[in-house]
Amino acid sequence: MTVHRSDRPLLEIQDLRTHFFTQDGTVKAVDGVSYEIGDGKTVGVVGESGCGKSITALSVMRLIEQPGRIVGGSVLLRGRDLLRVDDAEMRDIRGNQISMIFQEPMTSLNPVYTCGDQISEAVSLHEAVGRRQAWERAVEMLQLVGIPDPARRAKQYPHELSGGMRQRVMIAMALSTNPELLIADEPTTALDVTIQAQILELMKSLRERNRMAIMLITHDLGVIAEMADDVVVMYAGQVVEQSDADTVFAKPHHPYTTGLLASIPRLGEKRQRLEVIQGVVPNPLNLPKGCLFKRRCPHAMPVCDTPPPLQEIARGHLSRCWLTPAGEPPAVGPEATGELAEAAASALQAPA
Amino acid sequence: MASGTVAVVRVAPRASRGLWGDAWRRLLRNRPALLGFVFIGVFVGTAVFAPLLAPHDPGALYPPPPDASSGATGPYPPRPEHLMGQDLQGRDEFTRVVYGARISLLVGLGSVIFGVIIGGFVGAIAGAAGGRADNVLMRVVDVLLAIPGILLAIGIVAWLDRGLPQITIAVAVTNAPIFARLLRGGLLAIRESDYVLAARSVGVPTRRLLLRHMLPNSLTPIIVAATLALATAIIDVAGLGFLGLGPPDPRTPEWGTMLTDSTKFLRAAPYLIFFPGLAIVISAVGFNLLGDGLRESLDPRLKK
Repeated sequence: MTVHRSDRPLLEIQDLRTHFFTQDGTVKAVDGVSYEIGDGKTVGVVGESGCGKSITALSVMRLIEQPGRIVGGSVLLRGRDLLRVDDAEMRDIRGNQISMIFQEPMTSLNPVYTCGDQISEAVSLHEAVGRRQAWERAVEMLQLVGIPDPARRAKQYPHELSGGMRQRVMIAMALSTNPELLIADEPTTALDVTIQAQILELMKSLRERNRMAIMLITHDLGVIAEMADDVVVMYAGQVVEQSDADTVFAKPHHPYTTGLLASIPRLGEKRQRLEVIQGVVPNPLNLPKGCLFKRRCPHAMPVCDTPPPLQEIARGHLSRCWLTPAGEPPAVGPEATGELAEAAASALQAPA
Repeated sequence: MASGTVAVVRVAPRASRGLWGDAWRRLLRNRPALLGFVFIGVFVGTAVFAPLLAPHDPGALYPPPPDASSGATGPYPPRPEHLMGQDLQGRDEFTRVVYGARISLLVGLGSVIFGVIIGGFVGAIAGAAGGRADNVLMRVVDVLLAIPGILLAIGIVAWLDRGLPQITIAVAVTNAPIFARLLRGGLLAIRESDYVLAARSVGVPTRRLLLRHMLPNSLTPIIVAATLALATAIIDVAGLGFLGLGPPDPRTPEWGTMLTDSTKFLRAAPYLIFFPGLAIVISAVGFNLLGDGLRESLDPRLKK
């Protein structure tokens, strides 16, 4: 029973933990991630490869495969915990309430069926419609995503379409059942820049038309700036910063976010070299103690050996860093002011 | 081209042919495969129209040629009434070669179909279930693959007793592990593919995922392997016959048995070796050529 409660966000991810039990040890791919997505909102999830952003999405869909397992937390869709519904219910939610599009349009469509077949399959799985109606819906959807001559294209096989066209087909398939949430995992990464822009425009217009929420996973901050209402920055399986998009771009707090923003080339600026974040992502089997970013952080200080909590540094702005909201190193001792410094001080005094 | 002219290339929208259409076109451009088709056509045509082609009864004994000295026994060399000669008992060799095609086709095809079914079933379970079931089934397959095919077939015929159904089963069992391994490997690779993830993400149930999305994509190597297996099956059947494990009824015109019965007269009557041997070669080479052609046309990466 789905109770529509307008005071609750559409999707709440709470303390989600997905671990991979490999032969070499346990990889905590997602380790205590929480964020929420409101009705019709677009949340951009940013981070380097392997930071756990895709695994979070796959966990929401319950599509994690061996040796991975969701070991804790909850995923509430309109208040219902998706991690506790049975498989048949989950299948019905997939593609119906939550749909997903993937990074690789070239390989995400089944080569032995026509595009129309695949879209109408998605339709008929969730709605009691006849074969012909499902096909008509497929053609309609292809039209909607801007594919010219949709009736003919529906009869074509994936290998007869270009990458951009295939991504449109994927979007058509994902949206054919009017989901409330679309998870887009790097939807434009594999496409040419011009096609990227077209696909983003398409997603924007469909978002308006269907009033759906989008979880937009990308490492491209340009895409985030274009699309997102809120931003979640992930690093090594954790959320390190979270806020509305304007704040993240104007006043980033976490040094990782600052580094990401500094590493975008800007037109019209004369710079000899592009800023880079020094070092590499830590080995997930051997994470540093304390702050996971400290080895690459320009502000690293002794207190960073204690894991910083994700705390509110301004209204609606969370950051997992010991720096004060103003970006200063936290003062320790009698002159320390504010909760943050107190937390830092108590962390320092606590036995490691 | 004169200056100022503009070459207008009209690209007509290509009609949708699909994967199989494309593969078919590539196959028709492959000369060895076409030759394979011709050989197979001769073989299958002979088998199907055997009663129309053969002038005599494959089991009946016919009198020696009139010029033979009295008291002489077969074999007798070819002459107009008996194009390929007569064997030791005086049976018409041509008729027997023609009817032999039926036996070969029936047993060969039967064993491959049977082998694909058993092997496919085992492979599908192993590939779909994974884990323990996969491990157990694949170790059995490894054991079967470790035994040379003809040796395994001999063992099975010796165990089940001689006869055409037994030969079919024996050859099927020797072929099945190949199909099991092929299908399992294909399914494992496809399970990781993006389109399977995409299908799961729209809520396709597991059984439908396996039957409608994964199996059709893993069939191409099976088709190729089955075609090639037809060639080996024909040779294996003849081989069993040659080793004396052919059908027990001496009237059954089985090519391998015909060969072994004629080895004693290799010098006196080479025609009794030549024609059944040629028949085996033509049918086996036909399926081999077609199988290679299919492999190339179904896998565009192999194209030069």
